Amino acid sequence: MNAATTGSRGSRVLAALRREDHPARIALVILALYLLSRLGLIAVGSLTRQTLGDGVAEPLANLFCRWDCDWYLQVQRSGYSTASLENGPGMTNYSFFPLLPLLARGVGALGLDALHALLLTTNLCFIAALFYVQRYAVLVGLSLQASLIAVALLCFTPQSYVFSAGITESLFLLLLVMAMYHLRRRHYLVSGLAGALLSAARPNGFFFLLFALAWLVQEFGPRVFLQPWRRPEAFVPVVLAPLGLLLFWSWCFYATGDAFAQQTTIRQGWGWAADLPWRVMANHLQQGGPSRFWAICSLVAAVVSLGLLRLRLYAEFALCAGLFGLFWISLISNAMLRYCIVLFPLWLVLAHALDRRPLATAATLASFGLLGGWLMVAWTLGAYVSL
Amino acid sequence: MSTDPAWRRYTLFALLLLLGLMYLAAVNHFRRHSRNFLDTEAQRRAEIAQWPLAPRSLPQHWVFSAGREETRLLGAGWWPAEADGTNLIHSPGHVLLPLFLLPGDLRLELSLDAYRLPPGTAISARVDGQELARWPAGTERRIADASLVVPAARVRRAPIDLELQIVGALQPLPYDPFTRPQHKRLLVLRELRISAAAAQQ
Repeated sequence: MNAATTGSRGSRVLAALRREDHPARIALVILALYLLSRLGLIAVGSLTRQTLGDGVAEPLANLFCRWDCDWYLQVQRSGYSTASLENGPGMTNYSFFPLLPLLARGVGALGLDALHALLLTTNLCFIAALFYVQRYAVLVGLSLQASLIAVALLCFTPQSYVFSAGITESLFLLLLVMAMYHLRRRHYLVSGLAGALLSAARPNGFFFLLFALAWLVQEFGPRVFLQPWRRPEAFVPVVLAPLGLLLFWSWCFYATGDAFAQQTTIRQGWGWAADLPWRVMANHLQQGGPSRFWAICSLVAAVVSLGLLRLRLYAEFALCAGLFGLFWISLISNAMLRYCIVLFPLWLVLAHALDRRPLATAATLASFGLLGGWLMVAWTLGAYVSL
Repeated sequence: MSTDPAWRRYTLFALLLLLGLMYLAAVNHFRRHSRNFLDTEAQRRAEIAQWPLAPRSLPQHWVFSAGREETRLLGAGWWPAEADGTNLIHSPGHVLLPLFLLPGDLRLELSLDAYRLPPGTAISARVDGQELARWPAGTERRIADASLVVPAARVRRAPIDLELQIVGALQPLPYDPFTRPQHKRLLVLRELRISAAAAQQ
């Protein structure tokens, strides 16, 4: 009797899993894409270390801790400090926003060491973000197939190792897609809270405001701004979005007397400066090397973002346009690629274009795999282009 | 329009407005009272260093290159000293002169190199907020006759805080990972000679 019941339940589960749109099946596909892509990155990284590296053995977790990861670890372990790097005057950990190290410290309370806690945090964020991106894609009208292609593109995009590294990309991606998804679903409070956390995660998190404002116009018309008291709940995300940034500024003011300590240290320590975008981009393109590579990547991403207009995703386009504007005024070209790949609406455009085109999808993923492999080698060896 | 009762809509609107006003007040407060924390740190370090470095007699000849004690008197605005001098990374740059027993008016002679200052810019030397000299950036790398007299009557407190400020518009320079930050190599302070002004005349 029991065996018969179990058997029929099992067959029901299997039958359900055969249905393409069953949530469990979708979840399995997303997790499989995540695992497959991470295994690929680990394999490339390990092989690079063994065959091209300096031969010094290091724990596997260290493979995902390069560049800014050490800064986040420092904040996570010992909090903020005004002390500059010995060989980098003005470079302090105030350059790095507090949300990721705070979360990682919370995860570390489970008994993990700092690095493993940080990596577990970023990977959990990435997995959650993949689920949200899939649902977002369906919400804005993409087919189920296209939504899963978007997930695959995110997993295999060149530089997707940053989503598993001890830096903020996966957290930023998660909070961005959460804030946007819940705003589109009119869950204003959840969207606002995600937006507030977003602005405590990275300086450009504040740009979610562009999406929120554009969405309000698209949804309710410009009149909504003339009589905000008629629909105040729609403004909750707009008002809550800067909260994280304000709290960080308040903390900096309390601790150092300089609310804008983050801007101070990136300007003096890292040499961040702004100029007109066309002059900056011309300069990057002329410089050659990694600068030219990053500039070209960002230009390609900007061209892809035009597809958002075709999909009538105007609010998403406003977000991307604002962020490209920010990237292009910075005289520092590095990290432009990884800043672009977190703009998940771009992947929706590409996924829509690849929908029901298995050969084109396979070719795109294969190209991404090749480029991603090259960048993972560079990342493993600490080459500047991987930043 | 929202289907919520009017009192709920107005309460929520008032709360959001209040939060928005709090943001504005906070940003205004921060803008008015924030001080560049790296400059504050550098100035504090220089103030601590001044006591053992206070000269007992004049004239003095200070060289601001790596390894020299007097580089510790450089406050806000300077990159750590290198072999050929100390770069100004943002204007103004402060130099503390711990001269506690002034013999009278002081003459300061600076050795300054302006590598990339554009035409039309100048370097202003100030003490206690008052400009005492201004040297235009010329076509030569070295700023000619970069000297000034500090009248004892103008000095209100010790140590003397000499400010060197670039006056005029600076275009942002292309990012260079090897010479960051941006304005490094615009102005280099190499040496400073301090003497009693009367002795020179």
